Amino acid sequence: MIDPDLVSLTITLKLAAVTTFILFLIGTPLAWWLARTRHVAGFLVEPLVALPIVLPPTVLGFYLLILFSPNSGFGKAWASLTGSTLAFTFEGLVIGSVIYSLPFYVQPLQVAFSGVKQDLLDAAATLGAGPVDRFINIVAPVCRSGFVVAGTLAFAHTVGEFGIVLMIGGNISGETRVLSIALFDHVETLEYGRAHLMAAGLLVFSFTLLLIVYTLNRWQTGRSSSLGSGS
Amino acid sequence: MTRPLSVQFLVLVAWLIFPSISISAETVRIAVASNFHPTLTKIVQVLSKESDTKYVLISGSTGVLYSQISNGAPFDILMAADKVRPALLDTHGLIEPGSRMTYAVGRLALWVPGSTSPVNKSFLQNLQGNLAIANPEIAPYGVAAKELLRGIDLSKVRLVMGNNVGQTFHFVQTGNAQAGLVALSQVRHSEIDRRLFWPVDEGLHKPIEQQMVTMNQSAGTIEFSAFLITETATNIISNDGYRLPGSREN
Repeated sequence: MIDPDLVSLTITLKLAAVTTFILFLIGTPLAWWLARTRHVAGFLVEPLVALPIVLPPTVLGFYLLILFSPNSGFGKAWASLTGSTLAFTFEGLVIGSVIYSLPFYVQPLQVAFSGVKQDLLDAAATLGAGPVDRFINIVAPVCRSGFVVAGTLAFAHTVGEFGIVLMIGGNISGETRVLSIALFDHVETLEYGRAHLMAAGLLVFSFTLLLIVYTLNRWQTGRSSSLGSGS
Repeated sequence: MTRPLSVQFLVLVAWLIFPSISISAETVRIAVASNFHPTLTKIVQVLSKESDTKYVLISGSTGVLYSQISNGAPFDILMAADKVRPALLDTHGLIEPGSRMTYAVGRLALWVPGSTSPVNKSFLQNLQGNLAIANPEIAPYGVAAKELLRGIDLSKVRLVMGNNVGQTFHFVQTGNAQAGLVALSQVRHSEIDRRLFWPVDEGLHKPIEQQMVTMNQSAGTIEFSAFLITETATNIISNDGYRLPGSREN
């Protein structure tokens, strides 16, 4: 039999990977829009995106559980479309994680996008490059480390998720029992040895990821300032 | 014209700076398993009317409270949801010798909010959808639920686990689980329609003995322990859906 902690590790990595991928799809255009827009809606959307940073995860979990319930309009619609409910499923955790990690993806990317010079894009446009062409060939390479930082933070933050999963997960092995929940269970059942192993593992993992992020940040700042002085 | 600072103002400032200093005689901190918290609140309300002692309740899961006490949390009394953790504290010599006693016996209830017919034992055989139970690895009510479900065909059921019986109740209350094995005290407390739950026969699982221990022999601790066995207190406990340790199973 496979060790249940390994199952939890797999679920956690899968959740973080799926969440980061979905954030790449919806968070990238959102970050671009936020970086460029002068529309009044931007003032409203920006704090909305940042909300999960300051809200206790229990607030999100509490509302999500109500939203997922077959008694709610959304829950009912989902149930009639898919035949199952969202609470206590992997899909439900993905929805929760996307909301929870949204600012950690959008904010660094938004900063990176803001740094892209408008002149550069205008020049490319004059040369006949379309919006998608400009994004792929100019914005993406210039903001490469921004993407890495955003993706890494979103991934790491999802791995570190606890409160929401505790509230909407239902602790099902192989589906919703992620590492942080398994660690909590070990502490409660007095299996301190396993708890230590897991806690130390998460600590080293998180530190390593943050080390990458900050090294990239320094390197990026160093490069752009040297470019700035050179020009 | 300047006015001297009033005494009230100085007292207020002092209280803000040193909030832990209180004028009352003694503060007793009671760590209580979350399932018993509503009941204990009622008991302490009555007791506070006839006593100067200040009772502070800290609610949490028995496992977490146990870890906190093992690591030196300044609690005077632990009212656990099981007898395992109090026994462990006893073994480790962290409690007042001889203070361990059962204060209530928890009862399980099967709650099916959407049921159109009265909920009873045969309901268990025909359950479908999400059935919420407390995590048997952690919660005593989960252990009892697991024992009850032994030998029952659960092929059409998806077991979802709450971290404690409080969360289990919430899963059912929000409609995310169609049925749940919760504490009888909870359905009583929430005044759920009698037809929608079944108080599980106690013979179908091992009793959920909830034990308490005291960490010291202070006046407040002794006062509380004595009050807990008065008729006033035991009436509150049994009205909330617990069986009293001495009384017969029904």
